[in-house]
Order: sequence, then C-alpha cells, then structure tokens
Amino acid sequence: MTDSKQKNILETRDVKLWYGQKEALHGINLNFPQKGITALIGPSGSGKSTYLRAINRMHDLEENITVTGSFNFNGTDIYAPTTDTVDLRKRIGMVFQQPNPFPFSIYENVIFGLKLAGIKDKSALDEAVEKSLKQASLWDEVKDDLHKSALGLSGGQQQRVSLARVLATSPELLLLDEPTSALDPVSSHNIEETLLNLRNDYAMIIVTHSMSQASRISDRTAFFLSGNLIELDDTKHIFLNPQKQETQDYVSGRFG
Amino acid sequence: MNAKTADKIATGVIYAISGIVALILISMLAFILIRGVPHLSWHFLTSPARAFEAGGGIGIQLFNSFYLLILAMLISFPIALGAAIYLNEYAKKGRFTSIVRTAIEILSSLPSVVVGLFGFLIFVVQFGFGFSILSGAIALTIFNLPLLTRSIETSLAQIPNLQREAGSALGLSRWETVIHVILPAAVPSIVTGVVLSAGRVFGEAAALIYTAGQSAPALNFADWNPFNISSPLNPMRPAETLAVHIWKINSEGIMPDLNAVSAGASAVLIIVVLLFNFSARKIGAKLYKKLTSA
Repeated sequence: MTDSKQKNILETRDVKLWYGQKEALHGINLNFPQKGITALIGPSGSGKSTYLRAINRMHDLEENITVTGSFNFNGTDIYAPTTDTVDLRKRIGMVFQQPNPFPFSIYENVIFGLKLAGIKDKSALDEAVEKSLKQASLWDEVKDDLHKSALGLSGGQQQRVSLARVLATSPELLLLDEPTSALDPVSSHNIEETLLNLRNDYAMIIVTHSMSQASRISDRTAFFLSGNLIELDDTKHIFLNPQKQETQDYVSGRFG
Repeated sequence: MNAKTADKIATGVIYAISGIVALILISMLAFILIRGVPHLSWHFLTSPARAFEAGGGIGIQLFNSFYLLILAMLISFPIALGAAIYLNEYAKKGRFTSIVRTAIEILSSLPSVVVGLFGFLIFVVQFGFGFSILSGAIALTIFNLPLLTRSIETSLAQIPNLQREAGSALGLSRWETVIHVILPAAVPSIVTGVVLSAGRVFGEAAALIYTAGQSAPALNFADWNPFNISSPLNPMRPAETLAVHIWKINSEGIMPDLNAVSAGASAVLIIVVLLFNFSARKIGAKLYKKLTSA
C-alpha cells in the first residue's frame, strides 16, 4: 500500500548481499528521510558502494550476486518480483564515479530520458534542458554550446551533464557513487555546491572517500566497516562526538 | 653485453623487420601498378571483354564486382550485426554461446574455395539457382559473415561499460541502451569494419568461381528491370567478377593482349581495394568527429 505521508523515502531492513558464497553485507538497517543528504563513509571494501548499488538494483546486471532484506521505497518493494527495474531506475537516479555522458550533444544528453519517455514537445524539452542545467549549475557555462558534443567538456562539466541528465527525469531519490573522486578540486567544489543547492528539494545518498566532503555537504553520515553499519547520526555528531570507538578511529584518521 | 647495447640491437632488429614487411608490400604494389596503370583507359574500364581479339575491356566484370559486393553486404550486414549484438550485449557464458563462438571461428577459418564448392553444391545445384549473382552473393555472405561479426563485436566491446551502466541507471532497458547508446557510439568503428571487409569481399575469387560463374554475358545497360535476362540488375544471371576474370584469363585466356588485360585488371582491383582501405579510416575518423564534436 502506498503511504504518501511516509516519513522516510527509503527504509531498508536486514540487507544482506553475497558475491557467490561470500557475504559482503551483513544485515544493514538504514532509513533515509524525504529530503537532505546522507553520506556513506568507510574504508575501501567496507560495503558502502555495494549497499548503494543495491538500492537501484544495479547488481542485477552482474551474475552471481544475491541480495536479501527488505527495501521499502515510498511504498514500493524494490526487490519484489513484480517491480520493474526500468521503472524503478527512472524514480531512483544515479551518478557514477566516472563522468559518463553519452557521445551526443549536451542538449541530447539532458533530454535523453525525457525523449525515451515519449516527450516530443520542443518547448517542453527546451525548458527541461534549461531547468536541469541550472539545477546542475552548468547552464551559464554551456548555454551557448548546447548543441556541441558533451565529450568536449571538462571532466567536472561532464559530471554535471551526467547530473543534469538524471535531474531532468525528476527522480525521487538520487544516488551518488563517489561523484567527485575522479575530478580536480575546483570541479569537486562545483559539484559540492550543486548538491548543496539541491538538498532542500531532493533526497540524496552519497558515497564518498573524502571525510571532509562528507562533513561539508551531508546532513547525516553513516559509517560502514567490513560490511556492517557501525554508526549513523547527524554529521556533526559523527565527526565531533561519535559513539563508537571504530568511528572515532576512522574519522580521526587512525586507520582506513 | 650490457642492457643498453642489447636494447639498441633489439630495436634495430625490430625496425629492420618492420621495414622488410613494408618493403614487400610497397614493391608488390609498385610492381602491379607500374605494369597495369599504362593499360588503363576509359575504354578499358567500360567496354566488355573480348575472348579472341585484342582491345577488350573489363566493364562488365567491374560492374559485377560492385553489384555482388553490394548484394553480399546487404545480406551479411544485418545478420552480422544481430549476431554481434547478441554476443557482446546479451550472451551469458554458457553452452549455447560457446557453440556460437566456435561456429564463427570455424567458419572464419574455412578456405574460401571450400565455401565456393559448398555454395556450388547447395545453391547452384541443389536449390537450382545456377551460376548466378544470387549464388555468388550467398557464398560471399558465408565467407564474409564471421569476419564482419567479429569486427562489429569488437566495435561494440570498445564502448566502455560506463555507458551501459549510465543507460540502465537512467531507466533504459537493455535493448534501449543498445539501440540508443551503444550502437550510435559504435557507428564510426562499425563503418570502418564494414568498409574494410568490403575490400576483402571485392577481391575474393575462389568462393565465386563455382557460384557466380566464369562468364559475363553481354548486358544491356539501358534495361534496369531486374527480371530481364540482359539487365545488369538481374540476380539470376551468371556474373564473372574482376578477380575471377583475372584468374580465368591467366589460366585459359587466348586473346592476343592477354598480358595487358591481366595487368590492367589487376591494377584496377588493387586500386579499388586500396581505396576501400584508405576511405575506411577516413570515413571512420570523420564520423567519429561528427558524432563527438557537433
């Protein structure tokens, strides 16, 4: 049953994931509110990216991966056999570590999802391009070059095209898998600014290796270690006053 | 001997070997072109061959070669494209996939004369197509299919997985991702592969001797109704191609200017194949530029 007043946009319970026989996530319980940024931090191999990619069922593309547990996404059971992944991924957008614009023009990239959804009206598409590129803080830089190839842009601009492309389809939830780790500091800063501007309108989950990034942009932070969720709290608590020793060690740079 | 000297010697040897390879190719091309080009004229390129007297041309053979090439490509391209998409985008490791792959490998190592004989027994005799363009085009398809499939598959494999992930993360089905993302991105390299394979098909002789036949009946180039026997477009007429013509006149030709015709025809064949090869790169690079920087 759909409960439109659901407090959390996504509630996951006892999430376990196996690569073949090897258990990589050992029962994660995590909820995400309707708006704001949640950062997932932890050392490499802690399972944070693996968990993120379970949310929009990206693991379906690989063989040999099993996911169990319950995922309640605004009333939709994500792993129910009747759930259409194509439809699901329209509602849960994702931005990857490597910028991955398609080899078309900027304009074509941004309207890609809309065009496939059957929207043909030129003015509606123009409007969506402007709105999405503005949301992604890219409009001013590319508004005169909309019909040039997106591959001619810098890495940071390409990443913002990838972001605008996702925003254009108005997803309910945005997954960001280390979106700045392949970018230079200036581009990273631009992306962070963009995400901060979006935090009041979107629910976002960001996986990041940079603790300073997590502390700068996220409202809440979850610390992962060896496939377990160690601690989840408001970001400032995690960094200033964590409850668990492991979290304390990690955020103070003692391991990881 | 220290590492530096060894390195110098190895570099020298490798340069020499590469030089020899290039030299063989260049001298072969030079030989064929120097012998053949002086015999080329508009008359030679457009008039029909003559069996007993001098002054014949290669017009019909040239036309046949291109017509067969186009037909063979029209048949083989869709099949190769479908097979390549299946193998690269859909196939999971398993029995069926490995059978398909093995079949393609074996098909690509079949000698073309065997393909020709197979085509003769099945299409010419069994199906009653006779020595015809149709039989030849099917034989060329069998010859071309494995190579073309492999080249398209390689083109698709070069598209990074990031693009597939981006497609499915945007809510595209696998098929939509293939059609709207992967194929457009792969077009330049697919086109290069197609043109290169066209060059190979154009020069093929052995697969055609027993399928498209060794005779080039007179054609009426004013008659474009494919159902008329003298129409150039009729797919059921025998059609000696340029490569087959060269083989034929050198083994049993009796015209007095045999050597001149043979040299001229070889030069034309080589020039066309070279054109295919050079334009393949040009077209591919141009398409890539067009697609990536509007």
